[in-house]
Amino acid sequence: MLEKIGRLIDSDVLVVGGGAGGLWAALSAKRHFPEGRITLVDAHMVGRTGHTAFSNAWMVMVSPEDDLDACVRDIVEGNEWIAEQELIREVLSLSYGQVLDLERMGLRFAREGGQFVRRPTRGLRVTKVLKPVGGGLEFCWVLRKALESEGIRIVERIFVTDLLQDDHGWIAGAAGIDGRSGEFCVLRAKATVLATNSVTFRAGFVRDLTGTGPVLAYRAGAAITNAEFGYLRPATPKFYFEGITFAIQDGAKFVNAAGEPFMEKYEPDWADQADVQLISKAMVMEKRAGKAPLYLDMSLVPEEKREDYLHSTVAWMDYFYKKLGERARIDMFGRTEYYPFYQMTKMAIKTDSGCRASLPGLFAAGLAQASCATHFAGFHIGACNGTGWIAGRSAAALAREVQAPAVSEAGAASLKDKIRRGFGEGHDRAEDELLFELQKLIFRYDLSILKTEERLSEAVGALAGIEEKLAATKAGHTHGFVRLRETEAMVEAAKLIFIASRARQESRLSHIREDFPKRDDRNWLRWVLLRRRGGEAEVSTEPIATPLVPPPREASP
Amino acid sequence: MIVDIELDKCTSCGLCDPICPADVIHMERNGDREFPAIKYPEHCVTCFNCEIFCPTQCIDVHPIVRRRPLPW
Ligand SMILES: Cc1cc2nc3c(=O)[nH]c(=O)nc-3n(C[C@H](O)[C@H](O)[C@H](O)COP(=O)(O)OP(=O)(O)OC[C@H]3O[C@@H](n4cnc5c(N)ncnc54)[C@H](O)[C@@H]3O)c2cc1C
Ligand code: SF4
Ligand code: SF4
Repeated sequence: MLEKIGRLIDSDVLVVGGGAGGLWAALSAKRHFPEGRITLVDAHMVGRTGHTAFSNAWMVMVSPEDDLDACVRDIVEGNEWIAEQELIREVLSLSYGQVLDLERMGLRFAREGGQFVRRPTRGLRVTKVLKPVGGGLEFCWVLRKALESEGIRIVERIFVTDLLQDDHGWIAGAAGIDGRSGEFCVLRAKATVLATNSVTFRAGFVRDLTGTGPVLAYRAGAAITNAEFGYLRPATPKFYFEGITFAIQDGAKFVNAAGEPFMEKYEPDWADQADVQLISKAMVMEKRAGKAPLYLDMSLVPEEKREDYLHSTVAWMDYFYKKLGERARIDMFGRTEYYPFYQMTKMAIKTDSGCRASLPGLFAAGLAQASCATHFAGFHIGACNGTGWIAGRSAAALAREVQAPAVSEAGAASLKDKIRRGFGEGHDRAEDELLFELQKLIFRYDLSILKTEERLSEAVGALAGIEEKLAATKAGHTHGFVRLRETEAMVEAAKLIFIASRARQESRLSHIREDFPKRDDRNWLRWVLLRRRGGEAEVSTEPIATPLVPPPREASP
Repeated sequence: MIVDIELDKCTSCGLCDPICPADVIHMERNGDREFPAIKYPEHCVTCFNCEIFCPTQCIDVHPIVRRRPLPW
């Protein structure tokens, strides 16, 4: 009796993670399988937490009068071909209908003369973005209400620790614990969608929130990819500032210790308007040239424009800016020291164009799914909306066809026991210290921004020490247990990042190898795949299909 | 980081506990009522959720940033 082992929740489709990806996946599963039992679980409060809720929710939308093929080409080229072309085409072709659907649910978008107000976004030439008036909070809340009214079960505060598997490797749901009481939970399902976002290393502010999904999938034996790519950006540890793009348009510049602007030197065409990844790389070069510290000079933003930067439609940012001057006495419009920063990995679950992972019964949506290696402002949420819909549809189709999978009592009991063994006498903040050790490594510019084979190999070695200490660390309470499991996932992710980065012997997008400084289309229009075999990461590569946007000419032999 | 909850203004509605994405605030029993306790301030991600959604505006979050290692 599984009920005796823990709290049992039975579903046809289980969605883990309630951001844009998971909310759409649950809705889509229900719409494609109306009589099905659809459950959405999240570690926190659906609609109020997670990256989507804290975002502006700018999203890509391709309307019927736009050139869909040109938009597909735009995203594929912007991704330097590291993109799942057919999936991206479907994501874009769904986007207009999804925005109309959101409007019907009650979400407000600005319209002028009946048309949606859209604007271009950094890094893309033709594709345009729009945002809900109330940002991510309103976006998530409207979707949450729609889920409730359509009969989808929402279960909160369950932290998923493992995927359940039957004897044939079929994914049969997930296991986890109640984030407060610590009660063990079995979430049995015919189809499981992971929509937990990818892994961050608690780089700062709300991006401190991390997802564990890609690591859970990897541990169960699924293929993951894009671990060598990351989201790089200039940032200051002093405060949180989302408006760099606009500030630069209004005159702000990056300058070195001598006060000289330096972006023109590295990016003659774009200068300070270059993509954030290129700014990060230029900052590293300037530091290497002995010209650090580096600053963003916001004093160049004219007085009459400054007021705009002190407000945001995103509630938390608005509070933040208001209090920055009031409480912290920080003047945003001075010269502030900036660093290139590794915000998060693009590591995600490899799927086919139906968002089906390489293990039967498992699907992926949102940033936990590997649609591409860089998302640009607006295509994060854009990709989440579309992959959510597609993953939910594929999961529903499977759940309609199959019987409930057999979850053995012994299997569930051993997962429960594994959790129990994670608790014990421990000093309260042990996981914080191990996290700090990990951060010291992963945030190093010469590991996460400028890489070499030698340094990557050393880093893998250094991780072993942290892994050992983690394995010996026990949690005294549920809060600590969750933090420990998250840190464990981050350490595993870091290892996979270093291994994948060693494998890709070229430079492309955010993956910059000092020992292979050029992009190599002839050899590297490939996915770097990682699978767990016998406890170790097995690396392989696979050509990227190019059915819609042909590869660049250099790629042909 | 969260710095203070003015308990004399708090109505014990309980919202600040589940709305915190970092599990910082726990409702705890004190006599016949539950009050919010700041259990893990060092894990606060400065998202302002608790301050924004508290119906009696009795929570104060300071815009300070926690320590994190720098890239050089
Ligand atoms: C401040 C900010 C502004 C941004 N602005 C934009 C923008 O304007 N446009 C844009 O396109 N992108 C933007 N982004 C990026 C974008 O918000 C994210 O990439 C996107 O929302 C990710 O959605 P998701 O559904 O994959 O993950 P999330 O929204 O993060 O949801 C994942 C959910 O999974 C849950 N979860 C994770 N692990 C587990 C587990 N083990 N068990 C149970 N639950 C778990 C989490 O609690 C979370 O609720 C912004 C991000 C931030 C932080
Ligand atoms: S600011 Fe956010 S993370 Fe900090 S205590 Fe409040 S709700 Fe929690
Ligand atoms: S949200 Fe405000 S009123 Fe409600 S319990 Fe928390 S502090 Fe008290």
